[in-house]
Amino acid sequence: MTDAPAIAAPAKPRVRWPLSLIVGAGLTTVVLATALLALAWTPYDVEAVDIAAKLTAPSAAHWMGTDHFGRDVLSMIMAGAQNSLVVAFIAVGIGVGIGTPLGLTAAARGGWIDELVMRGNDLIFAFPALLLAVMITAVMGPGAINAVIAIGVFNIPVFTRVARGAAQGLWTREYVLAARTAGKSKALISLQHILPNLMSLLVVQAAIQFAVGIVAEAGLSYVGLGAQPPAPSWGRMLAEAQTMIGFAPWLAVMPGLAIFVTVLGLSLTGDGLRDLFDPRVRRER
Amino acid sequence: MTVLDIRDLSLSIGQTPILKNVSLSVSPGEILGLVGESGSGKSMTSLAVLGLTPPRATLTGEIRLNGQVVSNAPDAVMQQVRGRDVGIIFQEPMTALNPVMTIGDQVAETVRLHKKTSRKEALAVARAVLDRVGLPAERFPLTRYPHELSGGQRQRVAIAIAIALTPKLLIADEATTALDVTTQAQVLDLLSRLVREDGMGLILITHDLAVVSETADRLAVMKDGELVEEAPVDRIRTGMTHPYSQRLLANATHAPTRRSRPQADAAPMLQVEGLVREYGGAPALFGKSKAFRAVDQVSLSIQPGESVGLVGESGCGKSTLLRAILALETPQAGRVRVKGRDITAARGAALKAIRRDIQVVFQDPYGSFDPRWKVSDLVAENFHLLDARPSPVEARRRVDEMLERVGLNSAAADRYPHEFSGGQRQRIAIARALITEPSVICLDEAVSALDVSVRAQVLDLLADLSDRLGLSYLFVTHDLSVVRTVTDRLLVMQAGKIVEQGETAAVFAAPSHPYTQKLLAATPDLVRNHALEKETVG
Repeated sequence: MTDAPAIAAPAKPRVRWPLSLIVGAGLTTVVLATALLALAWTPYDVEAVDIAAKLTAPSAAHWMGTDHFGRDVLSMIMAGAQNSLVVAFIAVGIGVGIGTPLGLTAAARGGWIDELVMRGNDLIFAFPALLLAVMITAVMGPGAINAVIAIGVFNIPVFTRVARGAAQGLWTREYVLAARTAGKSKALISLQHILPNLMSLLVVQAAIQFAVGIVAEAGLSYVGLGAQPPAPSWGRMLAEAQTMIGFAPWLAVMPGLAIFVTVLGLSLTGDGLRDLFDPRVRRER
Repeated sequence: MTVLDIRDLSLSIGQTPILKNVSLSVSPGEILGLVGESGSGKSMTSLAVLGLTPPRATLTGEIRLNGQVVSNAPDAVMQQVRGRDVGIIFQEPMTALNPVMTIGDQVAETVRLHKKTSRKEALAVARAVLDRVGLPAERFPLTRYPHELSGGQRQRVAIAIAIALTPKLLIADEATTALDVTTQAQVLDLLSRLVREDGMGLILITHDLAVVSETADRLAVMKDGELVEEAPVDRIRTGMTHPYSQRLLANATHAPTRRSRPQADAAPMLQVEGLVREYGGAPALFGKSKAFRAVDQVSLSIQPGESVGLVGESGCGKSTLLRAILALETPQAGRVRVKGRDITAARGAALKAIRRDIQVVFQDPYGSFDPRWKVSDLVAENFHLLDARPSPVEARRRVDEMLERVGLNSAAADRYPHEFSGGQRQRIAIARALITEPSVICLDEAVSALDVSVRAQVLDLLADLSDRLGLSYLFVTHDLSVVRTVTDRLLVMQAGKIVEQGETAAVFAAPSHPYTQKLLAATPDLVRNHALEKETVG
């Protein structure tokens, strides 16, 4: 061992945070902070109309310019962030809250219950999301709440599938067999052994669905099925900017950027979390 | 001229020494058995020969392959050496082959990598090699995929890939460990034949001294990265010199002393009558769908304090039978009675009451614990079976007591399962099974994954617990050498049926069923070799 290079004390195994998680979490934090700030303060009143200052390009007074009513774009984007985040968050909540128990039940019970749940899933998957949203709003009228329901419904099968697939694998593990010989019910085993062990998968999926929800909300608002005026919304801002894009491009660029940054942040967070939880991926990078 | 010559090989990863001054050689046509327990460095030695050491490893000493120095050779050189001069076969035939490539292409790939031949010529070589390893063209065309083959056949394909270019050295790293005994015997025969025919050197890496004693010419014993003994294989019989080798041999043939005898005239603890478990086939369009009968009319009984072995090869239905006995699967017909109560018909509180009396220890010391639970919670999980659950303080006291009873410190309770070695985990699993004071413990390959020294300790523990608590055991295993020393009675299972049963000693001495005879003949057995030796000497 004479020619072995001198090596310092063996490095302690430490968690290496994936770069995508750092960047993603950073972007997401900025968006969240902006939305929270908008609760208390925006540079201008979101609904204040100032015709004299209409369609001003970005300047020191209006960092992101103003629209055709003279409303401050930055203020609208800040307030719109709330709307987007709340809609997407609740929609993910609906997906996790209903989809996960369904998936766990399907995996635990099998048989016709599994069939029923999974065929119901296929039905929702096969149905075009926008069409359902149109249907819901046609019946219940447009609005942020109905957008939440429409997006949430489409999150249910996503989480059902993730939970069922992973849970099925876990049910064959010996520690689950051991829990069954301990006389525990399938519901209790699902709660104590299955759910905690697929939590990481669900968290990753939730981050991804959050990003999808932001885009979906913007899409619904764009076609007028989301938040109704005067409540600010990124999607509707884009729709309104459409006719003015030739002479006031900032009206389309700013909300577009907001959506882009938010979705990018959440997607990177999801990727990063997956790398963090999955040591195989972590080693390969 | 030696095929492989290793001189003073030392290897460390960071500051941790893995191999210390290992010197070994293999001659053409020689089989060297490299034996040691997990972590002894036997696999790392073979990886060093192949130049496949981990990235941060530092290596000193010299490895010569066919006279060429390969230690610390650049990867470009080693790529030429691997496959051409040295072939390797790994343990797991499932993962060693590419599932989406035909077996013909996989063998041909190695040929084409090293010889610039056309695909057609390479496939012709592949055909010839597959014929040699016992996969004839009529039954095993080149277009077969790995999933169409059994474990033993896959291992033959892996051997074909390794010997396609007739290397001078072949390394078999636990290559038969995952196989059934009859398949293992065939694969070992094949390897010996190839060594004779090609004049290859073979390093047979294994934890199983019995395999070495039947196959190898020479034996090398490793412990903690050091070579402690190197000797002709006859020494297993005539006596090894190093204390560690002697201990290894003693542990491999270890028979725990049992003081209590089974109570033959008492009511049986476990009684299985006419048990049938079928799995439905795909529904047929016309006529009845064909069901697969995994367990077919099995009956058995276990007396108080009795230890019964259930042996059979993979797929014989022993695991299904075990799960049906534990009421983890519902049988189509038959009864399972624990202390006279029918577990198959029981529900709710009645089922819990029966479960208290029959518990299980599984094979995998890594998979049988929820990785997110502490040992105290894992062991206490079975308190769920009690009508009146103990208070947290009382539960903890009983967990600590049980951990000490199975030879662990009560400090273990606050740790997580991954912090323990395989043998310690199996002790925790036994503690979990014992916490409700059951009468019957089922052991599903419970010592198969353990090193021989640890296995001996766990078997001693089980014998001791049986003496003290009057436990009955059902040992479900594929390993005949385990049941021989620890069971009173033996059941042999084949294709869902019990084909032979009797006193363990009697079955080993004079097996009556052809399947049992085949099984016993295929099992490499140190005890039998000892006996043969005595016969020929006497």
